[in-house]
Amino acid sequence: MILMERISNWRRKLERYRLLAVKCRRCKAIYYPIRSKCLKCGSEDLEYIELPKRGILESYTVIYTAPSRFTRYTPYIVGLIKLDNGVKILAQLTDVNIDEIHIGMHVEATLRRLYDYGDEDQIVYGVKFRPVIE
Amino acid sequence: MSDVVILGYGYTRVGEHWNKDIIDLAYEAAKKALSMANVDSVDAIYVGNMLSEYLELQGHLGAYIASELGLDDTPAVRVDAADASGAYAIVEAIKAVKTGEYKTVLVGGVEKLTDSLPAKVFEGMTYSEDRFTMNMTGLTNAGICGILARLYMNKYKVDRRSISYISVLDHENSVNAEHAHFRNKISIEAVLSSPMIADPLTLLDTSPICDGAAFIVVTSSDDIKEGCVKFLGYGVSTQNIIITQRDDILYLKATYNAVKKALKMANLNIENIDVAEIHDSYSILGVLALEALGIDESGTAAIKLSEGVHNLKGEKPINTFGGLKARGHPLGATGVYQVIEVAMQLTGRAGLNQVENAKYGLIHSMGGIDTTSVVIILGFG
Repeated sequence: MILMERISNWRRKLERYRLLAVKCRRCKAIYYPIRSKCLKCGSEDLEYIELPKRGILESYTVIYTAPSRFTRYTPYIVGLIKLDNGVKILAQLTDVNIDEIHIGMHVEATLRRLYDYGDEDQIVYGVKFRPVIE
Repeated sequence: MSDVVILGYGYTRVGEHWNKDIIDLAYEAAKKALSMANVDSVDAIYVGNMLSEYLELQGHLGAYIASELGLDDTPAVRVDAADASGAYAIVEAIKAVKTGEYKTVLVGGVEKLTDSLPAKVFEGMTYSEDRFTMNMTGLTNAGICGILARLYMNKYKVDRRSISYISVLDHENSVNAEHAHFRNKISIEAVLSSPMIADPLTLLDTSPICDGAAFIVVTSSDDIKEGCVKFLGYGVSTQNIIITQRDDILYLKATYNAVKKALKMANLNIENIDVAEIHDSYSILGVLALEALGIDESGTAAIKLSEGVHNLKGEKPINTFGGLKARGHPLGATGVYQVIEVAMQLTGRAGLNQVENAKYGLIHSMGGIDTTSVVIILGFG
């Protein structure tokens, strides 16, 4: 299962690490994670774009009971973020205390350690969001 | 086309069956259903299940159940629509009988979750969502619901407390439900002060990890004149599995579309439904489902629940044997328990939980966060 995950993560590395999305050339709708076909107009003529790295927190949860590979990181915060171009993304929040979080706060993307593989101690990185310090 | 009726049903208690394998559970429930239906053989078997390969290292459940029952040569297949698998299997069985392809079908669901650590079960439940998002974020299904709950509270200015009354209702109704996982009452304070699972949702906002199997025998009504529970309508719908790409995350579009189809087929309005079993794997999903089903208006379900409108003796009773929270949520079996519970209501076999003069009942089952939704409407006559 771990090997399968590593293969799949490699295939989708640009989505994972650079927030690569697709944009419909016809109707300009943007999709993240990427998909094969525009849901608005049905076009398959999609181009890759990078998502903006800043946005606003719309909602969040704090995970206390986690799936297997995340159990040692609890509690951790997962936010629903509306990026500056309107695209929504789910991502962990970092560099912030639970009691400092508020809906509407400005956040920006940063590359962080996400989890590791228990038996092999290999680190998996991913994009998290942190508060913007003005 | 023929009407499709329930000839018999059987189920195990929902809970921790430490001495029973997945196949033992399925056998016990299927045997009871066949015995009540008074049939020795069927034309086909459908079984709903979500996680048997992952947690029990056993696939091919259709043929396995057929062979355990000694029903060689019977076509048998597993149906997978995450935690809507059981309800979906019933829809497939109804269709097969309705079209005349089969006369009598054994259909049910089975799930065995308690052999594994909770973290592994939560991991498995995330397989109903898109892997990329869940793996990138460490979200659980409960986590998504935590995010939904906070959005709901903000949008409709509803307090945290109101979200959880559905858990209190479920536990009230399960006290007299012999097959329920939990048979104790809980207070709203107990829900709010139970351990946090996915903020703001606590342990008592979430359905338990449990085992269970439930089967029914369905047949065409050609030879049966009266006194049966009939399937009046069904609807299945799906929507974007990637919830951030949905136009409105709080709108359970698949539920809305499924109930629309089911009511149209049954030629009924939602106001005609006397009793409803709602998919409340997490309290907030029950709230959102009540609104998408049209039982309550948008933004009002939490309040209606807190006012007792949906209690057993209320105006619109739901989850009359404890719902997913208290009867329990053995994923792929849940929809089948719901159908049996409605059948018990319609035939006056609900004991102390009987809803008076229940004529029409509805079940609602979701796969993942409304990615699949199934609605089935039953009547007596």
